[in-house]
Amino acid sequence: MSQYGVVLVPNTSSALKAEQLLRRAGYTEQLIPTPREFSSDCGLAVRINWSQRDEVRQLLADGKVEIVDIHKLDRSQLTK
Amino acid sequence: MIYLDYAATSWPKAPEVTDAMLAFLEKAGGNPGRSGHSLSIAAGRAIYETREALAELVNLDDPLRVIFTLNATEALNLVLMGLLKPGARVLTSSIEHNSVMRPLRHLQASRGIDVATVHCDAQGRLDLGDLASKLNTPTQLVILTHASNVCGTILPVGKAAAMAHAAGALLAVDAAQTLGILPLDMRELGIDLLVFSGHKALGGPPGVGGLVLGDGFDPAQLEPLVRGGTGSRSEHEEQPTSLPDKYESGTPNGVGIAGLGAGVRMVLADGVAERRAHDCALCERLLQGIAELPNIRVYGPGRPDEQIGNIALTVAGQHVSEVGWQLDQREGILSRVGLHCAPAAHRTLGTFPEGCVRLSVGAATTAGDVDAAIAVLARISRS
Ligand SMILES: Cc1ncc(COP(=O)(O)O)c(C=O)c1O
Repeated sequence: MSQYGVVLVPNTSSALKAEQLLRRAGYTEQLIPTPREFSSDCGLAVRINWSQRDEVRQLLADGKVEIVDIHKLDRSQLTK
Repeated sequence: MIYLDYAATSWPKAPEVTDAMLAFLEKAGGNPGRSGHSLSIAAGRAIYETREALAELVNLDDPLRVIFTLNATEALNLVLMGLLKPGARVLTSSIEHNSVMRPLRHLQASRGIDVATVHCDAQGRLDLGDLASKLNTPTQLVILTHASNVCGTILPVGKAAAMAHAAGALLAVDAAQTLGILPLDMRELGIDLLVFSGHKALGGPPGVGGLVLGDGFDPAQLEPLVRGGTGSRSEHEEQPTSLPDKYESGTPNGVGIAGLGAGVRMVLADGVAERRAHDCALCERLLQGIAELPNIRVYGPGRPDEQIGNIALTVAGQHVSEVGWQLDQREGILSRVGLHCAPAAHRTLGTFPEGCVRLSVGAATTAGDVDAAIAVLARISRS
């Protein structure tokens, strides 16, 4: 069963940009409210597959999206 | 009614634009960037899509470098107030709009900046030799309109960018009159800061304009005009530095930005070259028709390839407001007379202080509209 990671970004526009870039590159992503336990600059975060975190990091860096951090989500934090 | 006042604002707005505005209110009513719920995200997405469309239009990779403001005037104030250091030198042209000149005159008095004006000839054409010689004195910024809002003359902003950069200055362009009707590739032209108006050639509603930061422009140089809540970094009382939030505080005009997005996507679908060709053909028809009439003087290059579709004219012996009134009363032709918020331009053209009559064509103007204007001008000019 897949595990999720959460990408923290500096603001909503960056989250929306990340969403577009990932979607166009064929990744499965979802915008989620940033889980409270991760201190973040932004109320919105991008949920990805944890196994794809390195590719995602690269893709977002290439697309000039600033990444604050990428955390692993444990099962109790799974949205939906 | 025949609307020939596109230089003031475009009208009518396309149904796509009003539909997008309605859809925003009905389906995306949340406050973008403030909450994580679906309505807030939908609002954020609509706004982000407008950033993307604008970035594509100016050939920029990063939509986060598109900053929304109330109008072009606010974006110009952001550039000038945020960038110019006390004592700095700035160069501008002699055909600028007051949205550039008034902030500059204010900064001259309040921060002691040195404002030098680069000469334009009586047709509004920029004197590049004068620009070169004025760049011999260290200059922080060159700010130019892309085309005259009065007589339509297009300024060579690409050449000016190269000259400014060679002298260590930045180039800001006021594209209020041109984005949507003239090709504007920021990378190719080397523009550092581009100001646009949403309600003119882009076809959006009033209440939106903006600033696009060039690829190589370091935002650390530019202070925000307004500070406040952004929905990001809420635990801090200092303004965030990330784009676009650094320059976008408070709830944005989401309805207007969504409408603008539809307008920009229509420009992209038609192609700027197509829009330009439409305006050029009408401009040429109008210029040729007027050229046959006695007692009418046209200001500006008088050539469609050197101007946008703004045609400035006076009728010998008649007051400009009388001419404007006749156009309106006889055929319902809507023009704009007077000084067009650009006294400097009128001084350059030799039409200060009386001003002139400006006819300006746009997306929905037809050859029949132009012919009707020529017919009324023919009657006025012979009366
Ligand atoms: C050259 C120029 N600059 C700036 C402006 C101001 O535009 P806005 O109405 O969006 O503030 C205008 C429009 O009147 C203009 O023609």
